[in-house]
Amino acid sequence: MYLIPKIPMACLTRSCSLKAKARIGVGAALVAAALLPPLAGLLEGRLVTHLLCQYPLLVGGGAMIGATLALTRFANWTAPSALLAGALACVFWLIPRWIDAALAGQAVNAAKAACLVILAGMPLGWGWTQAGPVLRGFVWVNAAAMLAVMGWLQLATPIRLCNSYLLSEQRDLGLALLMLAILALIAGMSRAMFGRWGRPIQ
Amino acid sequence: MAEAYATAGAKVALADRGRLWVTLYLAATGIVLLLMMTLGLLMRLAQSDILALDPALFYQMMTVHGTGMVGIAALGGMAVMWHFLSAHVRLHGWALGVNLALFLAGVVAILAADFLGGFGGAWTFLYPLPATSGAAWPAWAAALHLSGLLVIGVGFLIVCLEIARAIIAGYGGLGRGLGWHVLFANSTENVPPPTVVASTMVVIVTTLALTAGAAILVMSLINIAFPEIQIDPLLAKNLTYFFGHVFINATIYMAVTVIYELLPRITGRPWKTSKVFLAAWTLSTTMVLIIYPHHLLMDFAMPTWMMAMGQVLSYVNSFPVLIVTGLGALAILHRSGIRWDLISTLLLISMFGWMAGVIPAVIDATITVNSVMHNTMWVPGHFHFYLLLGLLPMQFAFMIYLARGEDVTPQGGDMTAILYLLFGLGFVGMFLMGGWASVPRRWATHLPEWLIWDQIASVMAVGVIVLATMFVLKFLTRMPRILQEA
Repeated sequence: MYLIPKIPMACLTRSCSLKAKARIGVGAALVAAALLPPLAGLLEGRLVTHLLCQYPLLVGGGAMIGATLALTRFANWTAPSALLAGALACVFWLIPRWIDAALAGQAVNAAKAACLVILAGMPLGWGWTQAGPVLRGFVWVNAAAMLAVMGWLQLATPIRLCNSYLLSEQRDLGLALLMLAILALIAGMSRAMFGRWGRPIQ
Repeated sequence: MAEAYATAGAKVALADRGRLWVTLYLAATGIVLLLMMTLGLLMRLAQSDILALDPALFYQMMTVHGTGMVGIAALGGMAVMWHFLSAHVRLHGWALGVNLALFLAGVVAILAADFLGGFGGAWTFLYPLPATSGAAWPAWAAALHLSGLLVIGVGFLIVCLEIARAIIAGYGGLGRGLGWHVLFANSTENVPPPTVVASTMVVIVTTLALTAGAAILVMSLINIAFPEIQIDPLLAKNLTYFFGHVFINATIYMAVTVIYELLPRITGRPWKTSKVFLAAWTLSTTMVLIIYPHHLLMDFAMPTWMMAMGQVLSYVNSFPVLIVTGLGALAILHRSGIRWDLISTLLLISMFGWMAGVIPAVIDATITVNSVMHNTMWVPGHFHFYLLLGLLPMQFAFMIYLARGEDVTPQGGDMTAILYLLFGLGFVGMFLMGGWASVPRRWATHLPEWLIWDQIASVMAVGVIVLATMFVLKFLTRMPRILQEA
């Protein structure tokens, strides 16, 4: 998580171009999978799958496209603002009122998908690729802490937050978020602890 | 092995050692430290019945004193660690600048919240006190105080991440920073020096502590905004003490680098990185993260196994690092022909303060003792011992070392250090004796039978403040020259 990959500045070779196209294709496929029936209906049917499967597919698809675009241009100064913008777009679509609205109307659902791909996923992918190791670590640690807070919030709230889902589903989401937070922390620490064995001092 | 580390260290090009920021950190540490000490003296005078202090103001001062001392211990410790670590790995000074800016912003928020808003929920900000003050302070004051803490935590997290980055870049992972390749694979390549080992431990535990701290602070802020969303009090206390215990413990591990770096220079004997040394630091890294339940021994709802773990590991936790550091220091000093002066005496006092200060904590971590002693002056006795005579002498020694242009040639002044030790012992001794007599802690007003300890402590506090002022002034008066060199 602390290790910065070298961005190839001259990523114009044929093999590079093919890889970039393949990445964009995979990103688009992820987005399509999340939106097309029957998977879309299945994912939106439960709160946990809606937020922890459909959202990541949309954001992840956008992030792959954003990350691929970032490889063509080195602009690390854009990383903090891109990551912040992406996080804020994600947060907006986590507001229960807008989750309900997306389920109730096709237009809002389309706006949600577009936002999560273009305003959340792409900036996150771009920003992550451009970000240095400290910023990446910062995002990772904060993501872990806030996933835990969100999980607690789902469990502690005495009422249903989304009209479209049951209280029991809210509880399931809370537990899933707490587990994700722990996994994120373990993954981040493991990477930092065992990052690169055997690499000589520079 | 020592040769291996010396060779590795010499290869590092020192592009930016952050001298400017280290100097500013120490200046801020010195000034805030004296202000916080003065607040402490005023509180002891109020408990002595010499100074009339409104109880509400007492608790505001106690909150600022506690929070400020924890923050400044970390700021000063970070300056010490950064300075010495930057000789081994390549660090970027911007992180120190960002942290200082966020720290000062957080301090302003906390001072406004406490002295203008009236927040007096102590540094522990234990749920549900911030939101349920019984009209002692408004909700905005609690929210501002917690937000200030959050901002300060963000700053320290950024510095920790920068240090982690540098250690990973230099050694190939935090595991290697702890010397696991030496410990478990018998490697002799790129052996981390003691300063790198200590810094790696600090980075690991502080990052985890700040993660838990951020979570409980945001949860508390949500609770203030929406009181109907409640936090499980036991969860809140666990998170708070995990954060607080680990964070304040890490400050002494930051500052101990001054011992690893200066004693070898003073005596001309290297501090070797042995397998025992590495094993001790790995053990302490693990244990410091899991012994915090000794703060919750009075909470009957805590799982028994956690209580037992808190007690047993509290006995064990301090010893590995203390023994390797204490014995290492004694081995270096023994028949070294050292001529004692201010820096070396302060370093030796800090070893004593660290070791002796742990003893009251170990006693208090015993469940049967804890149920009687934990809410008495015994506990402030422990952490004042540990910080006043363990941590602060390390920071003072570093300040004087910089003020002398990083020259460790003996220049006298050891009597002031001994006086500091005597006044410090008198001061913390009164806390411990108060605890022995069951004087409750965190009480603004004391009964007449308790005043004798408070009054003696006040006199001793004056002595400590005078001597601390002398040490800080030695640094501040030389600051322009240090900055010119930077």
